[in-house]
Amino acid sequence: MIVVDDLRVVYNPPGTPVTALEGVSFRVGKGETCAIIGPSGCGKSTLLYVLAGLLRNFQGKVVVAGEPVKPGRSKTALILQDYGLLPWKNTFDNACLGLEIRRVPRNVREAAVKLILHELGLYELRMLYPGQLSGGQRQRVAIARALALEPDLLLMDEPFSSLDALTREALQENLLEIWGRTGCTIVLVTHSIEEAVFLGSQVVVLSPRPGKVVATYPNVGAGDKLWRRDPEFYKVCSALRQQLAGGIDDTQGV
Amino acid sequence: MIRRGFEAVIAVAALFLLWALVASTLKLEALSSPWAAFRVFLRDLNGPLGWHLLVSTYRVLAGIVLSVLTAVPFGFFLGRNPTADRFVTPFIYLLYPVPKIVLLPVLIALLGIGDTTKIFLITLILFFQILLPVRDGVRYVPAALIDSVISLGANTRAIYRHVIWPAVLPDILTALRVASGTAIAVLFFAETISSQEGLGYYIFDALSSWAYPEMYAGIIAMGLLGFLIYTVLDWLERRLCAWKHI
Repeated sequence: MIVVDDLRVVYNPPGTPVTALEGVSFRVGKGETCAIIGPSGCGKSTLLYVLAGLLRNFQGKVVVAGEPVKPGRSKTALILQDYGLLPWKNTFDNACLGLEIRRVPRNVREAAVKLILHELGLYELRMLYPGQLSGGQRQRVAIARALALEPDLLLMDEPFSSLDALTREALQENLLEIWGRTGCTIVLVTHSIEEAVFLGSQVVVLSPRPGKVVATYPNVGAGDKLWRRDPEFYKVCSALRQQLAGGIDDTQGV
Repeated sequence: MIRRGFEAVIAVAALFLLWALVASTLKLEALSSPWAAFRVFLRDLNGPLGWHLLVSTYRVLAGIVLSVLTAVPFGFFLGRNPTADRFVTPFIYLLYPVPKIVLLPVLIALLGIGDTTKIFLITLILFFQILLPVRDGVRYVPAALIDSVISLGANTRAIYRHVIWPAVLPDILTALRVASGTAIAVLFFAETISSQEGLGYYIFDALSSWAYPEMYAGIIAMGLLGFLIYTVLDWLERRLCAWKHI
């Protein structure tokens, strides 16, 4: 689904060019989940922007669904850190936005969004504005908006980082359900080790800036809701923790 | 809504009482009682006063519409194009502080004494008051909002429609509220100098013929005009920016 080969991104503010990513390569198969983890400022979000086609100024090869990445791919959905909901649109209109922009006829999009809001338990909140919702509810609205597009690739930037532990775990399980149902490929960026190990059937570890791939873990346990309670889960987490803390000089996987 | 109406009635009654109190204490011919003024107001509203009120309202509304139609697109443009903004800002900062009323003689010389001059003057005042907040509002729309809407497939038009316009609309309405007071004041001035129509003319005409109750009736009409504009702007704000009031 995704092939990233020797990706390099240099930001060019006047005077001091900053290398955000350097020689990043990994693959994500169709229908897989991939968690990208690394310290703050390592270029995780930049990587997501590249995959979304929003950042075009990069070197190297990035292929999404067999084609070089380009902006406006209609089957890619992106959920940003603060969810990107418009404060002036209520839940329903926010969830409709992608379809409205794509000029889907009103009755079609309203039917589709109604269904999704019901599924995510948001229908009762359809008239409320983002300012009236809790963090977890807002995140679900953002997910609803993304799902309305029937994406085959879902990109998420720190999707659950600002939520309390219980909400976070509930939403992570929600996401697994959605993944199981839709079979879409999910790439999520996170700084939480537990989240990466719980959700990513592959975990890509980035080094501090400029971000390089330190390791890619195949993570067979992910995808099962009970994985979190498996003793093996803790082992993977602590191995990953060591990798992040000390082993940043290693170059390829375990 | 009913409560708001009730509060407005209380405010009007309190103002009238205060006025009545001062008038009956001072007993000056030039300070008519509110009852006399109000009698004339009601009598003339169906006649000359109503007409003058209509003319002034038309001028203010035309100025508001024209200034929004010109300042908003221009503010969008400047907010999204930093280079253009750098060149244009010095012009704005040179022109903005000049009290526009000093341009009245210039405008009369160039455009004559008709409606054009007055509407142009009001438009000019409101234009600057709207332009700057719109430009700044556009500039500070969070980039993440725009990015996430682009990722949904939005083109430039969709970005303006779904993100930038609703983001700056509250600023526009606030600017209009602040500026329309000035606009009415300037309109009054312009109408006293170069007009046969409008409330400014009516009030000054009453003064020069010592018709004091008429003069106050004109002032009441002026107050009414301002009140109507504020009420409409408030209503628009509550309707269009409901998300601000949660």
